[in-house]
Amino acid sequence: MDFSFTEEQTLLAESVSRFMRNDYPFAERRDNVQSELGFSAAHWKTFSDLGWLALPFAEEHGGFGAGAVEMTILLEEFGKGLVIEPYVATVVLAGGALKHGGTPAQQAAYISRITDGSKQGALAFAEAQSRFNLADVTTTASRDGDGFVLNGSKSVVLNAPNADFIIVSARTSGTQLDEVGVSLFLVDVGTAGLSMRSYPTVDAFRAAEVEFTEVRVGADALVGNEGQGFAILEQVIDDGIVAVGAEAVGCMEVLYKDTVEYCKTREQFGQPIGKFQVLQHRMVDMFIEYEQAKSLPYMAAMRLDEGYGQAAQKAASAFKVQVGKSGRFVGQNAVQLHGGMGMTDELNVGHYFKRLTVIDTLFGNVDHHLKRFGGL
Amino acid sequence: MRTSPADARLRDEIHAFVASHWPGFDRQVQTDISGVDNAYRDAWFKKLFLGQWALAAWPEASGGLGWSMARQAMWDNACAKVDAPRMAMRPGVSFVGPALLAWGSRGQMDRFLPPIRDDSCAWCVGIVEPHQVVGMDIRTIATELEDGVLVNGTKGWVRAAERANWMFTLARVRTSAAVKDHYVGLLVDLRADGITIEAPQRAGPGDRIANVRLDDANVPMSCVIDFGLQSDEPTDRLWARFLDHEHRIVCNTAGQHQRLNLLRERFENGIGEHLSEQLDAAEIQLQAIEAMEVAHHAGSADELSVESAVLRVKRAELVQDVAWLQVQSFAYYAVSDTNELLLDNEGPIGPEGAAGAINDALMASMWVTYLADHRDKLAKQLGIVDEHETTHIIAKTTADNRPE
Repeated sequence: MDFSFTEEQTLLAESVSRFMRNDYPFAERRDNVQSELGFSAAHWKTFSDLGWLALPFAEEHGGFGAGAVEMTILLEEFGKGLVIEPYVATVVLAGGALKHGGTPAQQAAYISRITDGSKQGALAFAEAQSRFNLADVTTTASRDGDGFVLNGSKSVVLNAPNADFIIVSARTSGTQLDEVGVSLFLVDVGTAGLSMRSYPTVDAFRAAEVEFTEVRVGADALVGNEGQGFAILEQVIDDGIVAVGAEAVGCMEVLYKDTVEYCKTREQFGQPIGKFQVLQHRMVDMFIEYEQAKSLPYMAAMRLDEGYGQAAQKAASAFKVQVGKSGRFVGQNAVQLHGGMGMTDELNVGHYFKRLTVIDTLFGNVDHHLKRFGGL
Repeated sequence: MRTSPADARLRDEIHAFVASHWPGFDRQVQTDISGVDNAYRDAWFKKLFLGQWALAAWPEASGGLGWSMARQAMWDNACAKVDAPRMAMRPGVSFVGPALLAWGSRGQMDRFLPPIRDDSCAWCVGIVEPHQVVGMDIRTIATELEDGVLVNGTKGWVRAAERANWMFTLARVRTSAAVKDHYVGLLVDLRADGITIEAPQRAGPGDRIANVRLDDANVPMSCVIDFGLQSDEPTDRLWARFLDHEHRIVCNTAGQHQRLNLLRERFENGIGEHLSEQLDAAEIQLQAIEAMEVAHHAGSADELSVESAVLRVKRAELVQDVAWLQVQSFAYYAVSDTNELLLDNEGPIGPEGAAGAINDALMASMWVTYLADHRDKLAKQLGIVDEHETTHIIAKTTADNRPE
C-alpha cells in the first residue's frame, strides 16, 4: 500500500495550507461568524477560484474528478483553521447527493452553480425521532399527477439558512424504518410550503428545522430512482464521515500542538507547567490518540476511491469510531491543560473542543458506528 | 450503620417542605435570555429565609440550626431531586458567612453577617483566576496602603457576579519592600471604582459565570481578612471549601441521578444498547460516590481529609462523563446553540436541554482542571511520596513563585 502523495496531491496540500496560514486569521473568522451570513462570501469566492468547490465533481460538470484522498487533504487543513464556510454541507452533502444520484439535467443545472460559488445547498436527512438511522423517515412524498407532494419535518439541517436548494429524504412507500421506499428530492428553497426556523450551532455554523407543508414538486425533482434513495444517502454520508473526520484530525493536531506550546510557556509554582511529569504523560497520551486517528482517513479514503461497497463502509465506520474516541480524549485534555484560559477568546481551545464534539455527533457517534461496523 | 430516627424525621420534614414550597420549574415564564431564572429563585429563597432553612448550616450561636454535613446533604439532595435552586446559589449564606465566622474579625461579623442573615445583600465568590491550570495559584496582588490595600488582578469563574453587591476574594499581600508570602481574604464592594465585570457566560443550567477584574481597587482595612504568616492551613482549607461549595452546585449526586433518569426516560427507545450500558455504569459510579459521601459525612467530614479529596475528584469526573452521555443521547440536537435560541420565544430546538449540552460538556471538562493537583496532594497524604519531595505540582509558596 502506497501512502505517499502524488505531485498534484502535494501541491494541493501546500496550497490549502498556505491559504489557511496567510489568509484565514482567527480574529477575522470570529467577525465572519458574527456576520449575518455567518461566513465570508469572499472566502467562498476564493474557494471557487482555487477550484476547491469543484474538487469532487466530474470534469464534464466543470469539476476536477478528484477522489476522497484529495478531499481528505483539503478537509484536514480546513480542520486546522476551523473553516466556517459551509463546504461539507454544500459540496460534500448536497453536491454529493447530486454527484451520486442526480439526473443529468440536475447535475448540469446545479453542479456548475456549486463549483462557481453561486449556489449553496443542504441535505435534509435527519428527523426528530431518527437519531442516526438514515432509513428512519416519516416525511412523506405522495404521488400527485406527474409530481409529488411533500409533508413532514427535518431536523438540524446544516446550512439550510444559507441554502438555495435542499435535498430531502422522504418516504414514497414502505413503513417508517424501511430502507426501500426512501426517496430523495431536490427542492428549491423558495418553493411554496417550505419553511424553516434557523439557529446557530455550537460550532458556529448555521442550521434549521425545516418544515414541508404540502410542498409540490415535479417528477424531475426526484434524485435517483423512486424508493432507492437510501443507497445514495448512505454513500453521501460515508463521504461526509471521511470529510469531517479529516477535519477532526486537523483539529486534534492543532489542539495537541497548542497544548504543548502552552504548557511550555505557562508558568505556575515557579516553573513551566510542562515540567510536571503527570502533565507530560497526558500530553504524550494526547499525541498517541492523535496518531491513531491520523492515518485512518487516508485508509478510508482509499477504500472509497476503490469503489463504494462493504469495505469502504467498514473503513468509514472504523474511522468514525476512532475519531470519536480520540477527539474526546484530545479535546477534554486540551481543555483541562489550558485551565481557565481555555475559555477565553484569545485561545481557541474551546472552539476546537466544540467542533470536535459536534463532529463526534455528526453522521453517527462512536456507539452507532461500532454497531454498524459489527453488522457489516 | 443506619440513619438516626432524628435524621430520618428531618429528612421527611425537608421533603415535605420542599414539595409544598417549590412550585416546580416552568421555563416559559422564568427563564430570561441567559437561562437564569432570577425572579423564581428569589421567591424561593425568600421562603427559605422566612423559615429557618436558609441558615440551617450555621452554628446555633450565630442564628443557625447547627446542621451536620449529613443533614446539609439531605437538604441539597431534596432540592436537587425537584430541581429547586441549591443553597450554594446564595453564596453569602453558604460560603461567605461561614468564612467570616471562621476567620473574620468581630467588626466584620457585626457588619456583614446581619445583611446576609436577612438576605438583603447579594454576595459572589471569586477565588480562582483565569490563568490557573492546576491547584490554587493566586496572582491577584494587594498592595498595602496606610488605611487599606490596593488590589490588582482578575478573578475567573465568578458565579452571578453581575447580580452581586459584594465579592469575597483572595489576594497575595505586597508591602513596599517585597511580596510577602501570605494571603489575605478581601471583602470587595463591587460598586467601587476599579471593578469591571467581564463577559458573563452560561455555566450549565441556571447560572452564569464571569471574570471580575480589579484595577487599582481600594479595599479599606476593615474589609481585609488576615490569614497570617504562620500556616498555610487556613488558605488550604478555604480553597477546599471553595471547591466543595462549587460542587454543591455542579456535582450534587442527587442532581446527577436526576440527569441520568431524565436521559433514560427521554431516550428509552432507540438509544442503543451500548449507550444504555454507559448510563448504567454512570449510575453505579454515582452510587459508589454516594456511599463514600454517607460514610464521609458520618465521620470527620474534614475538607482537608483524604476522603474529601477522593470525593472531589470522582464527582468532577462523573459530571464530565454524564455531560458527555447527555451529548450522545441528544444525537443531532446537541449541536444547536442555546444562548441565541432563547432570544426568540418559540421555545428550545429539539428536546429540552439539548441546546447547550455541548457547552455543558466543555464546562464540565474545565472543572476537572482545578482538581489536577488533588492526586499530587493525595500522594503525599497517603505517604506514597515524601512530604518534602519537591517534584510535586503544588510546591508551597516559595521565593521562586512570587508574582512580579
